[in-house]
Order: sequence, then C-alpha cells, then structure tokens
Amino acid sequence: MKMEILRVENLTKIYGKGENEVRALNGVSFSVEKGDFVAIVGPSGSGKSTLLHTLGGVDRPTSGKVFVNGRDVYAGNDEQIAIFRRRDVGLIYQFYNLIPVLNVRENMTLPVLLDGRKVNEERLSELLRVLDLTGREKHLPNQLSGGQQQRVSIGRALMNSPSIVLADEPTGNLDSKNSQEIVNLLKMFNREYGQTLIVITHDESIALQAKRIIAIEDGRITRDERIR
Amino acid sequence: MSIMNLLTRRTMGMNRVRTIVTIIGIILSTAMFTAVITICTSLYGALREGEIAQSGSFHIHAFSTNRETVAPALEDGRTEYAAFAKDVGYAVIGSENPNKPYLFILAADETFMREMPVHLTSGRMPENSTEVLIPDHLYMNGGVDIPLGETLTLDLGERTSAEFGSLWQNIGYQVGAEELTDTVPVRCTVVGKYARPDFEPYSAPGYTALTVMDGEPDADSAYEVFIRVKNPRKNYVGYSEEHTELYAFGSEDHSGLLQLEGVTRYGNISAAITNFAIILSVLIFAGSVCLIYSAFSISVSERTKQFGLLSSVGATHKQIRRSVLYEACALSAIGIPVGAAAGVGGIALTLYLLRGKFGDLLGSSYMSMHLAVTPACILLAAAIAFVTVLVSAWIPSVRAMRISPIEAIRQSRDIKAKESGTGRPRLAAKLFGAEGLLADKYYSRSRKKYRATIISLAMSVILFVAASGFCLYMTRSAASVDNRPGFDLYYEGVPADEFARIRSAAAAEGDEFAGYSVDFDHVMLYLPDESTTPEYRKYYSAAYGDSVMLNAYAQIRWMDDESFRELIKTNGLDEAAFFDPEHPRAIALNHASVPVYSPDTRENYVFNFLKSGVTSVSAVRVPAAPEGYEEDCVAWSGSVYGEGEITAYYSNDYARMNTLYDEMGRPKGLPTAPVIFEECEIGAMLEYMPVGAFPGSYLSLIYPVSQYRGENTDMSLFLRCGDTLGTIAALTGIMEDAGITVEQNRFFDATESARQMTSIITIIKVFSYGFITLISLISVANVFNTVTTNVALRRRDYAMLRSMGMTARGMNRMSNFECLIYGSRSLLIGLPIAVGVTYLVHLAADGAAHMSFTLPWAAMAIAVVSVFLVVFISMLYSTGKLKKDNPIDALKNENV
Repeated sequence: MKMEILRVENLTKIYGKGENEVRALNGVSFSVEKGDFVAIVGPSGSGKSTLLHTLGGVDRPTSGKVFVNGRDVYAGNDEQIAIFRRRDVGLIYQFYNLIPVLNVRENMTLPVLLDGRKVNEERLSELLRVLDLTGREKHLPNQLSGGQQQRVSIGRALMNSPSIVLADEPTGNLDSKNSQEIVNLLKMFNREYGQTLIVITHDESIALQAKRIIAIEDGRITRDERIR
Repeated sequence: MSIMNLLTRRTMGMNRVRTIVTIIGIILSTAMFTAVITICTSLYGALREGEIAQSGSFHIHAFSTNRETVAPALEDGRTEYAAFAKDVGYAVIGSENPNKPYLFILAADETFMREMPVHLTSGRMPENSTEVLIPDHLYMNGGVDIPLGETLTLDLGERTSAEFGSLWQNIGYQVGAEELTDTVPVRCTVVGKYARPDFEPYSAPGYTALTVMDGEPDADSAYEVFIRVKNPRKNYVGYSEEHTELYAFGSEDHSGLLQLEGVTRYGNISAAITNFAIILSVLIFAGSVCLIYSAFSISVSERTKQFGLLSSVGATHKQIRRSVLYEACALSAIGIPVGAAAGVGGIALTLYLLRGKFGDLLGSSYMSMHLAVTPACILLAAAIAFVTVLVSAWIPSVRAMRISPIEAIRQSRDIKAKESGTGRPRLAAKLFGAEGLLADKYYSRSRKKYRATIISLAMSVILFVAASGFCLYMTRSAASVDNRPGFDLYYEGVPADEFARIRSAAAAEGDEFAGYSVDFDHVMLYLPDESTTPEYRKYYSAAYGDSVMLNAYAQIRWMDDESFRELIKTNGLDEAAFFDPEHPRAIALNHASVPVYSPDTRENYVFNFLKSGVTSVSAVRVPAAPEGYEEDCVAWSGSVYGEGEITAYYSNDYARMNTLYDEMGRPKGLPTAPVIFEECEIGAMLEYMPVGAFPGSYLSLIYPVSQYRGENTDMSLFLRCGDTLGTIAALTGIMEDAGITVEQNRFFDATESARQMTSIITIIKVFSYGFITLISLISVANVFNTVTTNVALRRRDYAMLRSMGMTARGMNRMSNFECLIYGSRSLLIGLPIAVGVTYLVHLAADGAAHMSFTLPWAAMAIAVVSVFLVVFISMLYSTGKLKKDNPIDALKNENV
C-alpha cells in the first residue's frame, strides 16, 4: 500500500527585500511516499538546498506548507520544530558537520541524547556494523577519514529511525570510490529498512541510482520523473 | 550528565587557555568585589570600634533620672543593657586649673565599667566603694600627682550656687559663685588610673574619679542611665518613640554610633564609605562585565556552528541556553570561591602590612583596622560576581539563538562585507603592503568582534590614567615634597665653643650635618629687574600685584666654618673668597618653591631669584626714625612700582588710628627719608637646599660663622638622618658626655609630621595601585582572550594565505599592523576620555587643596606603551601557535 509521508504545498522562500529580493523557492508542490528514494537535481543557485532545509525544519518558508506524516511542520513553535527535527528528520551534510569534541558514539547518538532517551544499543551496534565503524566508537572526528566521517553523519541521521533522511550533496566532498560507497549505503538503507531518502546532488550518476528524480531551476520544479 | 553538559565540558577542555583566562577573570572580579566589601566592612568596623572605645556602646543617655521613671524601658525585651552611674559628690583637690578645682566621684555599676569608655592606664579596676580610679588628666591638666595605693580623705559635698541651686558636671565652674555644701569626710584608696573619659564634659568642673556602686540602684536616687538597644537598625526608632520616660529629665542620643550602626542615614562618614564602595564596585563591575562578557561572547560565537549543528539535529533553544549557563556555573564554581578567598586574603595581608598606619588616617589612637568578614559580605560579593557572570553569559547566548541553524552552520553572519572607506586601506597598503591591506580588511569586517578588545583596552587606559591622577593629586595635596625642610632633626643651643667637638662626635649619627648660629637676621632687598629671573618676577607680581611696597627680603644666617668649608668644597668654590673679614661674601640659596594662594587657586611657584652671574644684591637700610615716629614701610614714592624713589615712610599711633594713608597704603603727609643701600657681595649661588636650610620665599644668604659679629654664642646642630629617635638618644649621650645639659624639648624632629603624611600617602598609594593592578590584569586577560580567539578563528585563512605563498615575515607584518590598529584605536578612544575623567578627579581633589591641573604624563606614557605591549604579546602568542600548523591540514579540516 502506498503511503504519503511528505507533502509540500506551494512552498515559497524569499530572501532579501525590494531590489535584492531573491525567490529561492517559487511555489513548489510535490509529495513523497514512504520508502521512496528521491534525487533532487539542479544547477547551483536553483534553490535545491533551500528546499531541503525547508523540508528538514531548519529554514522556515516564507509561505506554503510542509506536512510530514500528515502534520504541519511549521505550525508549531521553535521548540516543537526542534523536537520534530530530532525525531522525524535525519540530515546529512556535504561537510559532515560532526561535533569535534564528541567521539563517534556520542556524535551518532546525539539526537537520542538530546531527546533525553536511552540509547538503543542494539540499533547502535547494528548501525556501526553496517557503516563499518565497529571499533571506532571512541574515535574523535579528526581521527577519521572523510568517508568515515560521512558514515558517522549517516549513522547520526539514521539513529532515531526518522521518517525521512535528507542528504545535501552527501558525496560532494569525497573521491569517487568513497562516493560510491556512501551511495551504496544509502541505497541499502532504502532497500533493506524502507528508509525514505531525499538526496540533493548535481552528480548525474548518483541521481540515476535513485527511484525518482525532481529537477529544480529558478525555484520551480521543471521535471519530476520516476525512473525505477 | 546530560549530553549538552558533556559537550560543554569537552568544548571548555578543548579551549583550555581561554577557559583558564576566563576563570582568572572571574577570580579577579570576585576578588575585587570581595576586597571592596571587606574593606568597607572593616572600615565601618574600625570606625564603630573607635566610636565605642571613645564614647561607649550606649544608644541613649538619660540624664539624672531615677529607677522608677525608667522602669518601662528596663523591662522592655529590646533593651540590651542599662548601665547606671550615680554622682557621689565633689571635693576640692588643689588643681592648678582654675576652672576645674574638684575631684568628682562617680559610682558606676558593673555594666557601666564594661560598656563605657573606661581605659585603665595603670593599676587595677576598683572592687568596692572605697576604691577609686583617678583620671590621667588630674595630673596632666590639673598638676595633682597622686600615687597608686594612696588613701585619700576627701570632704565630699554638693556644688550649690545661690542663683541655680544644685549644680552638676554639665555646668561649668561658677567662679566665686558656688560652694560645696553638706560635706562629709570620705576615705578612699586610689587603685588605678584611667584615660580621660569621654563622658566627662570638657567644661566639667571636676576630674571624674570612678568607684563601684554599692548594691543595686535604688528607687529614689538620681542616676545617669545609659541604654543600649538590641538590633538597633530594626528596633531603635520604635524604641525611642515608645520610651518617652527616658527623656523625662533630658537625654542625649549617641548619634555618632547610631550613624555607624546604620540607624540614622545622614552620617557623612557612612555616606563617604558607601559612595567609595559604590564607585569602585561600578568600575569593577564594568571591567568584569567587559572581560567575562567578551570571554563568553567569544565562546558562544566560536560555538555558533556547534549550536547550529545541535539545533539541526533537534536541540531546543532551552537546551542550548542551558548549556551556556552550565558553562557559566562551572566557571563560577571554580572562580568565585577562589576569588572570594583571594580577596579576603589580600585585604587581610594589606591590613596586616599597613597596621599602625590607619591610626594616622582615621585620626584616633583608639582605632585600628581589623579584618571584618561576615558570611553575608562574602555571599554578597559572590552574588555580585555570579550576576556578572550570568549577565555576561546570557546576552551572547540569546544572540546566538537568533541565528537560524543553517546560517550558523555556514557561519555566514560572521563576515559581512561592507564597502570600507577608500583612504585608509590605501595608506595601510602603502605602509604595510598587501598584508597591511588584509589586516585592515579583517579589522573593518569583523569590527564587532574586536569591539570588546578595543573597549577593554580603552577602559583600562581610562582607569589607569584616572587612578594615577587620583594618586598624584592626593599625594600632592597631602604633602608637597618641595616644601620639606632640608633637615630631619635639629638641636637648638649647643654652645659655640663646644660645637666643633660635638660636631665631630656626632659625625657618625647623621648622613649630613651643619651648624648654624641660632641668631639670624632679615634684611630688606631691592632686586632690580636686571638681576632677577623672569620666573621670579612672575612670582612677585602674582604674590604682590601692583603694590608699590618693597617685598623682597633676604635671610642672613651663619654656618659653622667646617660645614661651610665642606659646602665650598662640594661645590668647587674658592675657599679664600669667603673668609676675608674685610670683605664678607655670602653663598646665596637661589632656589625657592612658594605657593601663592588666591580665593580659589593655589599655584606653586618654583624659581631662582637671581640671574646667574649676579655678584651682589642691595640691602635696604632704613635710617633711624625721627623723634615721635617709627618705621612704617618702604615703598616707591611714585604711583606704580618702580616709579620715583625707594623711600622709607614713618608713622606713629596717631597716624595709624586716624588712618592717614594714601590709596597705595603709604602714610600720607608724614616724615619720609631716602633709604640707604648696602651692597651684599655674593660669592656663589646654590640651587639646592643644603642641610639646615628652610625653603621659603626669602633669598638666603649664608656666611661662615667666623664672620658673625653678633653676641649670641649658641649654635644649632642640623642633621639629615634615617632614624631620628635613635639619633636623638645618641646625641643626648654625646652632649651629656661633653658636659652640656640636654633639654629634650630643644630637639626638633622634622620627620614626625612628615611621617604621618607618609603613612597616609602610603595607604592611598597601596589601595590605588592595588586597584590599578587588578583592573589592568582584568584587561590584559580580556585582550589576550579576544586576540587569541580571533586569530584562532582565522586558522584556515592563515593556512590559505600561507598556501598562496605568504611568507612568515608577511604574516608578522600583517599581525603587527593589526596590533597597530587595535592599539591606536583603543588609545584614540581611551586617552581623551581618560583626560576628561582625570579632570573630574582633579576637581574632586581640588576641594581639599588648591592646585593647578596637570595630567599624569608618566601614567599616560605607561598606558600607551602597555597597550601596544599587551596587544603585541597576545598576537605573538596566538600567531606563534598557528605557525606550527601544516597549512594543508588546516585547510582540509572543516571543523575549525
């Protein structure tokens, strides 16, 4: 049975005012079903990162609505949005953005700890195993390679079993071997665990491995096709 | 521990240097708050103790009342004690003081003995009503010497006068109008002596002897009742309103004590202390907030990215804010207790080192400063410090919350490119090349970050200069060093024929010495403009204005030959020129330092009288007055100074009574005579004060004593020495061995009064410089903090620049230029304000002594040098750390 997990209605984001006004998003609407793997492509400045941040609850849209699991994300106050990010969204950045003073285990379990809940050790050790990070739990980010750091940030995104995982150029900072490894991991999580994924990329070869491609230009959807 | 706290601790651990500097800042601020509060409570304590020692601890003194009347007050639970004393009577004691012929016996109860100012100086306290204490001033003022243990038989009676009836201590002696009545013989033994009691009024006719009251106070007799109220701040007002019975026969409040115990508010002492504390606290608060605030704002801006990240993974604002507060609490937990201990310890040490000097400052021998610390004071200081930390931590955390997580992660807020002026960068580029341009851009683009550095530097400059100015003015108004005499000690009256012997024996006692004939002479001088310096003429017109009178004098003194020869030798002069009996020649002391007062200024004039090369001055001799007249003045005969002839004017009582004077103050229509000029040859001029010279507005002419033609044969021995008391003892011995009768009151110790001044100045200096040091330390910590962090934040930029080929020299140039920018900016703000504040300080200090406004230039120079030094060292430290970096690693590392 198909189940809608994300719906975006008429999303608009305007930066600046008057002459300097930039419409990063201009009436974007679409929906994503549970278990989908969507690639968002577009040239730089097309608004894809803005879209992703808006979906992830870190950047409030100027107008329009984002529903995750049928709930209007931006209807809540800042605190409720923070809790939404903590529980329902996993964000993966191009530059990993790990916290340098926390070790691998602490970085990965950060969303759980922030929620004040107990760490699900089973899930943690499975993630560590899948991400090939077993034995590196005590390492600090600067003791890891770029690929390893990105795997930690994937682990952090997945730790809470979020409704959707949003990845912003997850391979942009990596060589081709490490890039493919990360894409394989993402595909594996999508396939094995039914994890809904939205990935921003300008790498055609990565986009083609997704199930659906949404192209954006000047803040509008120009193409939306299912390829798998 | 929650993950947020763990994170905070790790971050603090990572930036160990900054954390330590922040803790030091908190320690310094807390120490200063504690010190200020401790000093104030100690001062209050000392004043209160002094007041109690001086006048007793009572609050209300009810005059000659009886037990029945004051019963309600005695039964009141708020009464701490009631001390009773009863007039026993007066007896004639044979005093030398015509207004104080009696011994007055006061019988006091135990409470009175304990709580009132009874300071035993010898013997013991009386134990029954036949034993008495007599006051010291019975001998010192009245000349009646009664040895301890002597039994007196006194005819005790009541003072009565026909006019007023019965008289008591508050009414002065009615010469010829009072007598003692109903006298009874009483025997008592003197068992001790005590200091003149404060409860004896100055005009009291009897010296107060104290004895013990027999039994409890009875209902009928009249008593002096002294009452102290428990917890006066809370109870006193209500108590004094309720117990009107205490005022039945008159009463007085112990207002001095009530002020010090905080009951009445309009005491100027407590107001002064409180103002002092408030001003200091505000300054410290400003300094501390500056430091701690910038430390936190750096910590927070450094962690902005971290906060953004945390926020993007779902940390709420509350969690982030709590993390900042956790940091504040953790730092306070270490800093505040250490600071409080350091503050109390520092003051304890200071008070210990300055012990004995406070008596001079507070002007009472009963007072000494003890460390007074109460838990409440420490808590108050800790609370102020904690509030400072909280305020400093809260503001940047609120600011960090306003940025959206994505902005925070990208740190796009940090650098906001703005068109900068075109002139300055070009200058910068010209002076320091591309590196200068970069430095300038860095400064102008993250101006906000550097604001803390600039402000704290400027602030320290202001505080440093103002405090130095304060010190300068206080010191200057306390004592002008220039006006100190050229000797520490002298003894007047060594026979001239013994002088050489005494002098050589005394050689070991002083560093320098000289003898002068005790006789000295003044002559009026006429100093024409050709022979005087412009500085002298400026002084003269300031001091004497348009007066036509002659106002110049010379003081003529005769120095013992041996000292005179030494003086000649020291100054490389020809000995023969001064000892020719036919041609007496003088050494002139040409230097003067004279204050000139006008209604609202005091200006100190420092000058030489005579131009160099002047070989003689004209002494003005007035011819003998005609019969029936005497000399009045010497003045120019014209209408302005210098016009006409120098003329001697004569007058007599009749002229003075009928004010027969013209508008210039010269006698009018009375005999005059031309003056006689006598040339005094000057062999040499000195511009310093030799031993024994008195500074003043006179030109001193010194001759060898062998040229003395007067009759007085006594000499005075002047010395410069270290230990005046020791020297007095030694000289006494030497002179007695030589068969001279030494009278101690002929010793004059010039250092005694100087010593008191010195201890006051020392106290002022210790506190001002202590304060300056602490404030400066705070700012140094502050600057160090901001500069190192700012440089650390630019780690990638530095790496990039180096990878692009900037040399180490280039990097140094860039940082030197940045130092220059910080330094000059802070001085540009700091110095003008410092001058303004110093002027205000001058105005405040001016109330005490009139003086002209001068800036503390030395302090300003020190401030300028220190500012650049501090910035430069901080820069050196932080760039030094960066140079160890491998540029590629730094570039690759995203997690700066």
